[in-house]
Amino acid sequence: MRDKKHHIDIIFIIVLIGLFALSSTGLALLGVNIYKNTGADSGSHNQNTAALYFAQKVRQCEDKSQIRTAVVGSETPALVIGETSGGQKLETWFYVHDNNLKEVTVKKGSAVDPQYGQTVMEMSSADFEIVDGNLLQITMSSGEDVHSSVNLYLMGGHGYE
Amino acid sequence: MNKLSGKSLLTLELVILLAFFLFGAVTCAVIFVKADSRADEAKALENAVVRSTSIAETLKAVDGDLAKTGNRIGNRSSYDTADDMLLIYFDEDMQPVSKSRAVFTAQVSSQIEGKCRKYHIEFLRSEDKISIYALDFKGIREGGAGK
Repeated sequence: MRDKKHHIDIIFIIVLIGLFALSSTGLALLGVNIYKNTGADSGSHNQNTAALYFAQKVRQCEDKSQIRTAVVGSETPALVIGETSGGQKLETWFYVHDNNLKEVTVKKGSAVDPQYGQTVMEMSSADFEIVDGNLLQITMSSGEDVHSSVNLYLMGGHGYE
Repeated sequence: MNKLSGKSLLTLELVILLAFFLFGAVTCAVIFVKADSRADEAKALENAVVRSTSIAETLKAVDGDLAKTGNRIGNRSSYDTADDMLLIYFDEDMQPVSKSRAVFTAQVSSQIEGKCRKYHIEFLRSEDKISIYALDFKGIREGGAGK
């Protein structure tokens, strides 16, 4: 009888410990899954940030006719925003090189080497298209196969490719 | 007798400890689930803000033509136009999709106010029609954007 009670006590303690271990593991797994889900959205967040960055750059340009699309290197699509500063005509080029969105400002007409741009943020690719002369469509993608796009109105129109 | 009391006391302590732990675990689990739900809401709101910007800019570019706006944002199967209202359907990542797969719907409407056209863009969850984001703006009707 005493032995039976003794066994039951030990079994009960083992069950309690088992329950504790199970709850801890379950809680840890739940936390890991939720953290993974939240982290997986970073690609989408990057692209939204990039979309608002482009929107700001385009809106800062006073003369929208100075906005055009181009190619840098041999085949990398680029967005070019022209401006006049201190009597000098300058162009700011935006393009993706080595999985990074880059920006470089050069004198108008100068050749652009894609390596020397300033890195803005991570990005796999970006494509720029001007539709009907007044709507800039930017399509972006990140490494996690997340694609997004943003349309920007070129008021005063006449952007060109 | 004392040995028996000792074992009972130990068991009781373990049960109380486990009860405290389970209370903390349940609280943490509830917080985790709420955090996940909030993260989803934040993601949807961020996407809605960027999409609304796109829709607004496109409306200005096409002078308020709703069908053209729908085509520029998505494709023919991802929008409907009816009663001067444009409905564009999006999935959970705010990519244009057909109506049957829509998680979010953007309602675009406009009304004339003098020489301006006032636009209203609202993003709704398709399931329960709860609004997650709305944007109002005006475009000039004559001599520029807006007819």
